[in-house]
Amino acid sequence: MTMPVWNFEASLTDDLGVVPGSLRRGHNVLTGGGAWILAQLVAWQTMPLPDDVPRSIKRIRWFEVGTGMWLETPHVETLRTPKLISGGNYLRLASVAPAYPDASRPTRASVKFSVTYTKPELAGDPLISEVGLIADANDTAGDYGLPATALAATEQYPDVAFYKVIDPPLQKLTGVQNLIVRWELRF
Amino acid sequence: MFRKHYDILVRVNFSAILKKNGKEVERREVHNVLTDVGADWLAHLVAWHSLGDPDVPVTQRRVRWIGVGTGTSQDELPGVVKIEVPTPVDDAGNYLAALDGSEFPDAEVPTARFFKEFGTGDITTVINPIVPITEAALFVDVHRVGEIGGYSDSPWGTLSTTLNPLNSDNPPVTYARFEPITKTRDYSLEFHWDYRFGT
Repeated sequence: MTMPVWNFEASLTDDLGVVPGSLRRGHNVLTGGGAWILAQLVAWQTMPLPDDVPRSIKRIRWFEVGTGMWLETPHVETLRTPKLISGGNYLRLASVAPAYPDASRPTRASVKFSVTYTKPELAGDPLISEVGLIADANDTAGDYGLPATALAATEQYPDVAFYKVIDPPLQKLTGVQNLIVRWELRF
Repeated sequence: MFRKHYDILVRVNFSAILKKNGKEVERREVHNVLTDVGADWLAHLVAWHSLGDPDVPVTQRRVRWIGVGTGTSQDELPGVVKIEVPTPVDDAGNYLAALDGSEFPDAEVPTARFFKEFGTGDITTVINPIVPITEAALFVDVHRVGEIGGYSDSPWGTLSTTLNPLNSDNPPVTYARFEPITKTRDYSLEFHWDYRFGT
């Protein structure tokens, strides 16, 4: 079995299934901010102490979609034109638990995230042209002694760790279609 | 080259510096390999198991231990699951030593550096005073003696330290093979290990 080059997939669905011609596949870019998140995530800040303290606890937590477009380079920091989902929210929680692909595939370890924007969401029949994955943590009740770092769902311009342009854009018809986004991170 | 297009690249660089009275005597600088165990660990590390307050991670393990060995026939490949010929790092018979710490050496490059200095009496023990070191590896773990409730470390194990430093067959996340660097009790040995992320 060969491993596909693409690690990102977006499509529209309606009551009949996948909308013909709506499947978009491609490969993302890891942003500079995303690379820093990974570098900090792998390390302990203090180790010989009784309780290890991590450098960072941020992990992939949010999806964000938009109607703008940047070049897919590591210099991307935010979506260009984030799109409101509903109720003033720009960010959508990633699926949990994340799916780990079939171990028999000829690939090294990977993790999949997905999200579905339902029919009423993303009002105004928008042309969705960019997607971002965002790392974050909610730990106000945790025991690491770290400050709560959860982004407000209404924050419009958080740093994206992984970025993908949807080209050509997908026009999601509000009230008629769902938008499904799947993302696989391979190490 | 094709893999570079679609994988998250983890470039892992390694250096071993032999010192006598604090002065560098010998050095090895090599690329080394992120093992399959390491790739699997990273895929689990980046994800949350459940979201709430607090969020619960899939795993808490991070780079914590270093081990060395004297093997000469194990290739530096992703399939490595243990140090070929592990050597104890102290007189107590531990095969793993806690790293001294981590740092981010370059503000412009997303790199985590792990470092450890073995003193003159480390590795080269009373019963094993001359050791030609050819292997080194890093291991991930979580050490939470004071844990009360909190996070679990499923599916890797339970709370607290999950690797036993007395075991010689713990699975490394990165592994390096290099030309022998002979340590005696006159020398200290310093390791630097860089994880650099990109696409």
